[in-house]
Amino acid sequence: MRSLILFVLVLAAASLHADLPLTAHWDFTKGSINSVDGKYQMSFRGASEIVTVNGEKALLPGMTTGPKPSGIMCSGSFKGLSPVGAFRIETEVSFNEPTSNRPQMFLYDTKNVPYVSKAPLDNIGVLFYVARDFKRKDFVLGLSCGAGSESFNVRGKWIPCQFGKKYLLAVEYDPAGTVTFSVDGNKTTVKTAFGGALVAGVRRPVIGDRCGSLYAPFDGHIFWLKLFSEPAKEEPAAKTPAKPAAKVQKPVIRPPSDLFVTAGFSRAAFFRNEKNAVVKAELCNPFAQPVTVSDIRCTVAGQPQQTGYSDQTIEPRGKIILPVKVDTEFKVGQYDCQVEFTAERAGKSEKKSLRFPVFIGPQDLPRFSIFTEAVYDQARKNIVWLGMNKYYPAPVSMFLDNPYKAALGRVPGGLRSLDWALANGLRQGGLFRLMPHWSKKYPRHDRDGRTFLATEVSNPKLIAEAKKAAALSAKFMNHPAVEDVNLNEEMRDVTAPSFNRIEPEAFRKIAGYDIPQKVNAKTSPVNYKLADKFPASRVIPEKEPYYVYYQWFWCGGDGWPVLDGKIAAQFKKHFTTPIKARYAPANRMPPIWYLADNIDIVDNWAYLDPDPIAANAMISELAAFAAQRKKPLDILGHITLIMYRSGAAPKGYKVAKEPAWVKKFPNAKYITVAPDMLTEGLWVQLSRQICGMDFHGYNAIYDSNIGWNYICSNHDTKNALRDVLVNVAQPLGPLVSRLPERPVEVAALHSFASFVYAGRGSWGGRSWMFESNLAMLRGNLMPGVIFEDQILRDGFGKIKVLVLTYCDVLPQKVAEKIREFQAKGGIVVGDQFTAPAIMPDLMITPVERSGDPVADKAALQKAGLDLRRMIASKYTPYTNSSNPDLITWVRSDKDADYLFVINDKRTFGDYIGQYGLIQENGMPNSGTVTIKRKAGAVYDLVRNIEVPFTSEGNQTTIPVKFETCDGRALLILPEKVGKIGFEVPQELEKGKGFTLTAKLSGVSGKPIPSLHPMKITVKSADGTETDETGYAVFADGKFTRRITIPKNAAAGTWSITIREAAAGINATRQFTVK
Amino acid sequence: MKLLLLAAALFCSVMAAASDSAELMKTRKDWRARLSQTRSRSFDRDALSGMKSADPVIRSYAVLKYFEKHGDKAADVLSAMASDDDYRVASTVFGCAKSIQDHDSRIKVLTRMADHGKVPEFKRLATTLTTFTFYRKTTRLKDDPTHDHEVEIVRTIALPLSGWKFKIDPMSDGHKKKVFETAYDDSDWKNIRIAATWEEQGNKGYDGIAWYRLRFKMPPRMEHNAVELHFEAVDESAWIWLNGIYVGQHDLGSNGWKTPFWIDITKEIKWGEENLIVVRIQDTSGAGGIWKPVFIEVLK
Repeated sequence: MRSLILFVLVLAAASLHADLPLTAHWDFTKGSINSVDGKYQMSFRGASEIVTVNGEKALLPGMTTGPKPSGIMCSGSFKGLSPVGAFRIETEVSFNEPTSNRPQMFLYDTKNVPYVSKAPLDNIGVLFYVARDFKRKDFVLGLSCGAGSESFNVRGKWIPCQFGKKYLLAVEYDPAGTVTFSVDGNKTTVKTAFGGALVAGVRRPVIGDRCGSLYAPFDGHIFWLKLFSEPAKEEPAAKTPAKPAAKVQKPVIRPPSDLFVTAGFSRAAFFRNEKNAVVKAELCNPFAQPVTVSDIRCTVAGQPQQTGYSDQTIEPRGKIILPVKVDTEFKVGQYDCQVEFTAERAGKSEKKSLRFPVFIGPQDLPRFSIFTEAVYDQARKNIVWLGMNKYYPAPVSMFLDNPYKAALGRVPGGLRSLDWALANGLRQGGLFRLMPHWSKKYPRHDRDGRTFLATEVSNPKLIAEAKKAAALSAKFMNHPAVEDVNLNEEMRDVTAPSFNRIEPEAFRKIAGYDIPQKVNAKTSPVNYKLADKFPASRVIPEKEPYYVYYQWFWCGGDGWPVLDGKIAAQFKKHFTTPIKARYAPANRMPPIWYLADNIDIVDNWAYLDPDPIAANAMISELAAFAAQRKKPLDILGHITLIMYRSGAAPKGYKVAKEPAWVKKFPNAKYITVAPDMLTEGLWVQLSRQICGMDFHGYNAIYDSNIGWNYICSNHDTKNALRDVLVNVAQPLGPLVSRLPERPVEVAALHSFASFVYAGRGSWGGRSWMFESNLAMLRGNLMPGVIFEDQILRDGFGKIKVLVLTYCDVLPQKVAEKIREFQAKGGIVVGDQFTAPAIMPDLMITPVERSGDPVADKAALQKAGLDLRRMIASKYTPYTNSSNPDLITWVRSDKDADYLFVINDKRTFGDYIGQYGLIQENGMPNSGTVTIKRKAGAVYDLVRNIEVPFTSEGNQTTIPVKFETCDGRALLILPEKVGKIGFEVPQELEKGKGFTLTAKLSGVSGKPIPSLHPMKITVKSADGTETDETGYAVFADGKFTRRITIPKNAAAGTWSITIREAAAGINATRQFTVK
Repeated sequence: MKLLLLAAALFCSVMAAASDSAELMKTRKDWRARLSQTRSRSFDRDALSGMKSADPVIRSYAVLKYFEKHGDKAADVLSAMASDDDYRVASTVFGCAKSIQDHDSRIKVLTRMADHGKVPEFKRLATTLTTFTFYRKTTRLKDDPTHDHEVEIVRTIALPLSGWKFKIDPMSDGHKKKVFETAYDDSDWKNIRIAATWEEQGNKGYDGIAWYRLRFKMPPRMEHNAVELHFEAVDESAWIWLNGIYVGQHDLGSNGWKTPFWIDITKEIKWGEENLIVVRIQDTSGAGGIWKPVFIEVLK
């Protein structure tokens, strides 16, 4: 809420500065390069000149080849030409056809670089520039401003560029942190990571080029340029000549304005109640002389720092660091860190008082992370609106796009962004990728010794270099707002055997023989159908060389698991707060367990077309992989918001009632997932145990100016996303993440041997291996996935039905285990491909996609229902539904069951349905679902109401009715929910707290022992909700939370309300804060 | 009430199906037990009886178990099963036949399958194994130990992208029809371009064998040490004839689809005359064909 209010204020402020005084005006149409009032004298640089274009005079900075200056430069760094407060720059220009390959072209510059630099003089001043995209012929306006040791850089929207056309360009900066770009009056407002006063640049302003080296001249004509600026405080408005001065000012090189203080390389945001919070204030001296500071005192929120500071001398262009303890027992908000001191320079002494903001953010309480990727600061307001609480990537992690040594200067800007996130209760995710040039430095080698551009990560030299990069990156990224780091996403896709010395030697060492002769790729060259002397039973000994090789390769021989483990270790070592390492896409691998040390989270993005229930099958595959750890790895839900257009509405196909988006985006390759399909997919994913939810493709739900391949072809999708996130994912997130999955009773074996000898694999959603799972879901069999590794380690657990789809080849020991399983009464279901050594009890017929979604769905439903009927005499699944469009998934805790029901009934709509490939619109549906248990009460956990049911014998039947393809979360309890009980003290002093313990009991008065979703709302005396407010769960009938009263809280009556999510029962208590 | 009736009807149909499948599971369990007793006196009788079962799962298992016990001596039984129309049974018979040690017995069963098989995939594979015996090792000039010089490409001749003739060969018997011979009449074959997949040219979804033929004119003879055909890539495996003579192959399985390869044609190329190149391609999944350009490289 706070951020929303801030945003509204910011928007309002954006238009407040229309009356800014005109500081300088250059009108080149008059033929002069000096300012109109003659006050600011300019001189040509390089090949720049005044030319006549279409009968009008203009400045042509000239594309000087080589590193030579262009544009026009002012005779001095006059006050006011580098604004320190609000300002606006307007100019009229036209673009030439590009004459250079420089993407950036500077219009007005007193700063020199558009990023945070190590050079102090580059972090002061302003820079207004144009960036261009040569391929698309677009341009974008950019502004970079310096505030001392920090800079920000923001850009507006990409605009198609017409060469020769006149454009009226403008930029306006508001100290509230808003930048507004305007092209011919069309405005784009961007919120910067920080605002406030700027520090005036000391360089002489340049129009049409950069003021320093590595020139960036404007490739076109500039007709005029105006600068409007708020007078600087040290420069009273009265002293600014309002009228043209008759006399030319004497050229001066203006010295830096003053000492300044910032948070620099330190965090400036802290959790409320965080222990040992310290901000390291940097007091900077931009002067050419040393400054001696004495009598230093620091305060935060007016509270003095306890430790005394010694008198110190700050070297020219240097800084000193002052640790300042931050009292975090204040309420959430922004506070000043103030540094007071006496400064002595060049014999003059004066008292100074400088300040910068520090933030106290909401307490670091358990959270269910919901986030999206590729979102930059401009989009943060949308993230919050969508119901998300995190975004990727953390800005610091972007360093690795560049040689990391050059990245040091960008740290403060990144830290401010992380501070902002923490202060607003958000988190960020980090990225770590091997640098692209390493694939040239450490290439893989084929058998002929030729190199190819896939990084040889098995190379110890690369591992050492990557570890250093990871350590450096981790040090920069070390901030509690960074929750996890995503390692080398998608990079193993391009793995391959390398026949350089390292891998052949390593393999020979473990196997005792060379890499098998035909190996030449990450997939096996051997197919059992054609291989010589392949066992007729298709059961292979574990020592078979190709099997040995590919096990070795995927379990670490290619280097990736080892490398990822070591990189993750570096992050954990250098982070002072817990950080998790994430690995994706974990399903785009063969089905095998490999030990990647230090990895905590696995995920794989699910495409929801043509079947949103694929999101469930994807989680089952991840669960099979995650089971390799005794405490299974966390599974992150991940859905992509895009669809391949080729599979939904192929380009070039003409249909009646062609969708409007086709005209708007005729060449789109990726389009937005349909809203109803997303709704269904979200419900599907929330039915599974996931630690959070990630959404790929932010640029497919919002019109983007970033220039991605993704386009937003359906603006309703973001509303559908928000609806489920706010109303389902947020309230049930704490439950969803903690609620265990039921042991798998029906499981499909994903066979690694069949990968090696038959090229089988799901690879994250392909083939009959994956589709058979969709069939079983439609038969309400709640299918899981099991790998050969797990069979060998754990046996079959509670599995009653083992499905061997695409299990053409099996290893000896696994085949033996399957026979034992069968001998003990387990049901083995095979298909026509199953290894002949196994005689299945039942057969399932493979379903091949025809391209007709209605026929395909019917075939998969039939396959699932047939299987259910066939096994019925020996095994009855825990749930069922009255029609195959009602798909159930149940989870259990103690005596409670949590029955998720998904309505998969859809039809063709008018978004993509015209093409007949995807049914994208949800349909009404009704029927019953059953569960094999007695029930005393059934509740809808989203609507918070009791729902009717019948319970006979050992079966409970619940009628369900849907308006569209969404879901229900039904809680089944042995008895009704009774009441919530908790006590609070009558009075509390500010700065004090108490531990709240609430109890939930059934109508019998006995505690409800199972996990039970709830919400706590804590309201302060002024009616605002505190950071203790949020969704959580009762566990073992109890909920405990420490409630603390901030030292600056509003006195008066506070209230605490706890509402459980089943029946909507709530209880409220009040207390007085003194 | 309506719902209850519906549920009851569903229950009845489920129970009926369950009853059938319970019987099926029991039967298969019995057969598993019987066929696991390979030393029992009744095993052969049981296995042969199992091969006559209406249930292909039992037939398949019986074939395997019988072969595991009798090995090469099962050849006649396998021959008898070679025309089974069930995929699972056919794949088992094929796998067993391939494992027969004795060459003649192996070829006999596979030939039976090639001639009388009813499952196209295994009929095609059997045909390939029994009659497609083309193989030639190619040695490139750069790998010739007697050529102790840097290899230099003195001329590169790009084969035309269009003008190729094309025919799919689902039964894999084109080689038996000698489509690689110069005299073969390809006038009814389709035209096709290379540097593009066959899926892009009207053969969507086709996986299997296909043939390409091209007649092209070579320039007058020039000084050289070797001439090599350079395929930038073929999806997936390729066997090549030049002027009716088999010159070599590229057979890395499904992984070979993007790997360039070279075939020595120094002796087979006809300078200053018309030449005929014939390429047999096998694609097992996804796109297929000569999807990148082909060159003749003249080397010194």
